[in-house]
Amino acid sequence: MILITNHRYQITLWSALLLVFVSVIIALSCGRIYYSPVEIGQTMLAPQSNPVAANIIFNLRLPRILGALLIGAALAMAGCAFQSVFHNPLVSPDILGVSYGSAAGAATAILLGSGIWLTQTLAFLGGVLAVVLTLLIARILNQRGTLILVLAGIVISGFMQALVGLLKYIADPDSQLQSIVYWQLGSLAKIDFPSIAAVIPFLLCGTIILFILRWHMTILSLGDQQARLEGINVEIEQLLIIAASTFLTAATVCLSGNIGWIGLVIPHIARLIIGANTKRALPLAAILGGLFLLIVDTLARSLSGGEIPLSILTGFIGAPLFVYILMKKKVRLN
Amino acid sequence: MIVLDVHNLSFSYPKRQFVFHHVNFSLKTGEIFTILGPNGVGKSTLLHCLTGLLSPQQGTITVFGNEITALNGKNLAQQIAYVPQDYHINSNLTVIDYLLTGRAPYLSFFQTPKKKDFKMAEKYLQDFQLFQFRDHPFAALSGGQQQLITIIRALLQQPKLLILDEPMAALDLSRQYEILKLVKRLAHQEKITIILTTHLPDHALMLPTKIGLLDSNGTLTVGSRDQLMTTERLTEVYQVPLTLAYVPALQRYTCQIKL
Repeated sequence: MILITNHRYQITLWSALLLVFVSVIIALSCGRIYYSPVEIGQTMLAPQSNPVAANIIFNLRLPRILGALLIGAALAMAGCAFQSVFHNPLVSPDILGVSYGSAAGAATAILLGSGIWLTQTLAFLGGVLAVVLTLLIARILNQRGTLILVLAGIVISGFMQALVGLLKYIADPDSQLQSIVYWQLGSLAKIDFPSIAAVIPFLLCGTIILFILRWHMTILSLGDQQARLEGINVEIEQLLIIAASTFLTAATVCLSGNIGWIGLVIPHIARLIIGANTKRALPLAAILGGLFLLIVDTLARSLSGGEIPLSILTGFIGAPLFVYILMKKKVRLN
Repeated sequence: MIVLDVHNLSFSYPKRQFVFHHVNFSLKTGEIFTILGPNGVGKSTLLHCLTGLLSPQQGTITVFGNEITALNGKNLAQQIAYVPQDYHINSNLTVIDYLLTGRAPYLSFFQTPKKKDFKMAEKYLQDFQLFQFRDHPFAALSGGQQQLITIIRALLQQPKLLILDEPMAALDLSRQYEILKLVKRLAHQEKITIILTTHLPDHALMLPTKIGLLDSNGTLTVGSRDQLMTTERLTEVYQVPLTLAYVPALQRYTCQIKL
């Protein structure tokens, strides 16, 4: 039996960070034009010596890498939080309808012919609106407990999905439809520093709340009743965690469209490595989520001449990975 | 000093008959109170009311003179600790992480367990000879070890009142012995007031305890062991032929079913 000690946690965390560092260097090198790590170092230190390389590295690759790390981390943290709060390993950040709400918002903006800023704003508002509706339905049904929230989330997701379907149906197939589908499949191609800066406050806000509550999430994972007996205000903390995770998810959808699987699979990997304690799993999930999306995005832009939409790759990698995790967990149970 | 005072307590689930009604009793520091009754009669429901998890329709529960509805969650958790019957056998937390959740009532919103809390938990693990399991998953322990760990977790709340729901259920004799001895020690040495439920009358006969008999009509009869632990009363409550017999070697009575 592998014992999960604090020592093991520290080693795991630092190794994961080291992997991130190595991946960043590789990601800076890879792409349509290959630069060796030495060239990258030179360009970073003296940008004027190679303006073409400097442009590619600073304006194209660096924002994408930063975006991948932030989005991957945000999705993994949101998934980790939801899985703790809903005591359900199959829950992912979009369970309360965030993703489809955002997609509906973005599709509306695309149909109206708006620019990138309005698209991102509407995507964010759509995501938040979906969660508010989900919470409202649960409130109207007047039942406590997490299952009712999940059910309401499925209802709202279904509704938003229908809305996206309708918008796709009336979209102009030559221009708009393509944009909507592209948005739904996720991509980091349009990321630049200003758009990252625009969502940073939401990412920060969500991350801080989740980090403050990460030990309480460990207690909440033991069940609402147990948490209540420990003097925890279950309803308020659940709401805070849901709000924080919604901010994180909606902010990522603004930047990159819907990217599936990360929020579902990465928290499981973190727990497999470091145990069920959310206090430890959350930071590790954040690092691994960033690492995973960085690798996937680097593949997406290097594998072929064009850009492969991210959800296609995360799906192809995530699905078998999830089966592996389920098998591994079963072995543990026996 | 009166730790717990229950006055005229009645509870029913929505649109059902009362589970219990007009329950009255009060407990002093270091007193043990054993609630006996057949399965499904509402013992756990009564405990849930006492911990504040369920709200009774009638009556009041006061802890050290304060009504529990007026106390905030943290305050209540510093005074009352509860070990439910269905503890978390599937928890994948390690033993130490599981134990530390018991320190939550003493930590603020922004805090996580500190060195002091770790030391406290580790001290208990050493006292109970369970220290070697510190970093093992809780789910990997045996039933008896898990029960002890859940009680330690409750003790980490430093409660004045400890409520144990069927702590001896599903345990072998040596573990039952251990838990009964622990209950006695906690009450006498640490002056913790303890409420426990059991479906074996013998457990009540082993402990120096006040008795509550909960019958299927929802009436809780409270009294001393001599008053209530009689063949007639127990036959009435359990509705099976049984008898109490004095065992000289044990210097106490034992309760046996007539078969």
